[in-house]
Amino acid sequence: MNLSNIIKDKKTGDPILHDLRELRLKYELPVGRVSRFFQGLEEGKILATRCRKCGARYFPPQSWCSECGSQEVEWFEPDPHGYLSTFTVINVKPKSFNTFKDYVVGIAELPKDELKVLAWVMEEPSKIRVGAKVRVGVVKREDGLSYGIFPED
Amino acid sequence: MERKVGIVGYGITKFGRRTDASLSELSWEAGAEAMRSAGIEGKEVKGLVVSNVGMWSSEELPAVVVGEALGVRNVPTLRVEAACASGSSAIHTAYDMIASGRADIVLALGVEKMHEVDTETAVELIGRAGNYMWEYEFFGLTFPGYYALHQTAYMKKYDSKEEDFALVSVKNHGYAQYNPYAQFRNPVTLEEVMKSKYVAWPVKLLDSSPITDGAAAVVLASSRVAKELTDTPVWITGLGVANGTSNLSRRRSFTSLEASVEAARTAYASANVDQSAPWKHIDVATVHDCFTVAEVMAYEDLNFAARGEGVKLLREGQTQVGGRIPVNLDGGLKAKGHPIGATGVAMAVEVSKQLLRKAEKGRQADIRNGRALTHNVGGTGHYAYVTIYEV
Ligand SMILES: [Zn+2]
Repeated sequence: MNLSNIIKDKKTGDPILHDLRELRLKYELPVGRVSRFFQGLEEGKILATRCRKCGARYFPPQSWCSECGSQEVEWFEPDPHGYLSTFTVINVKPKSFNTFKDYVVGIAELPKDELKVLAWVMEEPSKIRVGAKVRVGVVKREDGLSYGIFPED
Repeated sequence: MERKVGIVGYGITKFGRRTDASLSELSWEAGAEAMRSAGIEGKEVKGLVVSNVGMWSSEELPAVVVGEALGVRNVPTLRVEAACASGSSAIHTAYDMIASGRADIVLALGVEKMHEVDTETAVELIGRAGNYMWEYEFFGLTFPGYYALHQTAYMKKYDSKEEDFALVSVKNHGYAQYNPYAQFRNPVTLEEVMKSKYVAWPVKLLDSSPITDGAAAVVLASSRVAKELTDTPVWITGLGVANGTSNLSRRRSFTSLEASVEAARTAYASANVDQSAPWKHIDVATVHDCFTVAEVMAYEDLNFAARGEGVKLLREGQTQVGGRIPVNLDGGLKAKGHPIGATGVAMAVEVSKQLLRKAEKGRQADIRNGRALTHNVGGTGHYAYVTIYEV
């Protein structure tokens, strides 16, 4: 360690030790218990789970029931039609989304199955209204298959 | 039966871009001041609870660093995390250690050192604080984005405008000019807030709390020890805590934080505060204004105003000194700054100063009932802590 590793903070001018030990983090996320969801995307469907014992429904899908403790849950395709509860435009993006243009994140309420889905809204922000009719569907994004919220007439 | 617990000393650092001090040095600034004001030394502290969210700072075991810095040795020591409400979780944990009879003097210290990484990295790390895979990994939500979803829903439901929320920023910057510990001591105009750039429409830069370094500490003691140490303890008389779902898509409402409502209900009940008109019993409050919409929702979740009337309460000046209930006279998270793990402890320092009539000129509330409230939210209602203090 020597003085050459000490730099000045760009705003305050305070001396800062420039860290030589860099750490990169990339997580490996287990998805085995919800892999049916990803197969569903390939089939063009957004799938959720439902408890066979008490009927509680889950989106995002999960393999157990938080309400009654049962592990007997089944996959089903919710009615994809609903309306937009709220939305925002992400203007200042995190570093790992820097390659994307400003994107719209919204929450669609699917009243028939009493579920909500958070996803990108595939529409120009100026045309989006809270309460508008929407449907959820599969989206092919530059970073892979995903799902989104689409306007409906 | 639970034993009574009070604050007998407090300390706080200047908030801001504190590149002049390390996490250990900031902790020492706040902690040493707290112990000095309580008239105790490190060896008299019998429990140490440190709130720190970390990730952006290099120390992995901050509680141990704090103990070493303050000469606190061989006592129960732990770090707690409840996102932006970590500071309140430290105070509640310290309270439990004393109330249960395990210790007579406990130090609760919150510290955050966010400027050890660049701004982009800090934005990324805060944005990951929802449900990681289903919200961040897939859709890149940011922290302002979470609150923007609430503001959009609120604006639609109650027909309010971006200008209405901007008034929170104007009020809080207005008071921060009298707070020597605040990060931003410049008043701002409505026009300046409205002209600031969008970070997550409809949330703008001047609707948002900044990235902050800072520390705050309180010494808590049992009633017997508190009365030996000071003539003016600040008693904790009400505590309420609740949690919300990780996934925002599993929330019932986007115009309210259910966890805040629940935490307030419990806190009011334990302190015998009128649930429907709490302002009759409370002289001053700090509420969690990480974004301006958060302060407006807090007015309603805490029953300071009826549903949909938070904006009106603000516009009428009812949350300024002399109004129904003055809120965030220290500048709030918006202008005082928001060192995440330190914020809840800084709120306790602030209401202690208010109740002891020690707030700086220009920002002292009228103390009539001798009762104050802190409201501290973690994430977007992922955690909520409400605490009531009395002299
Ligand atoms: Zn069930």
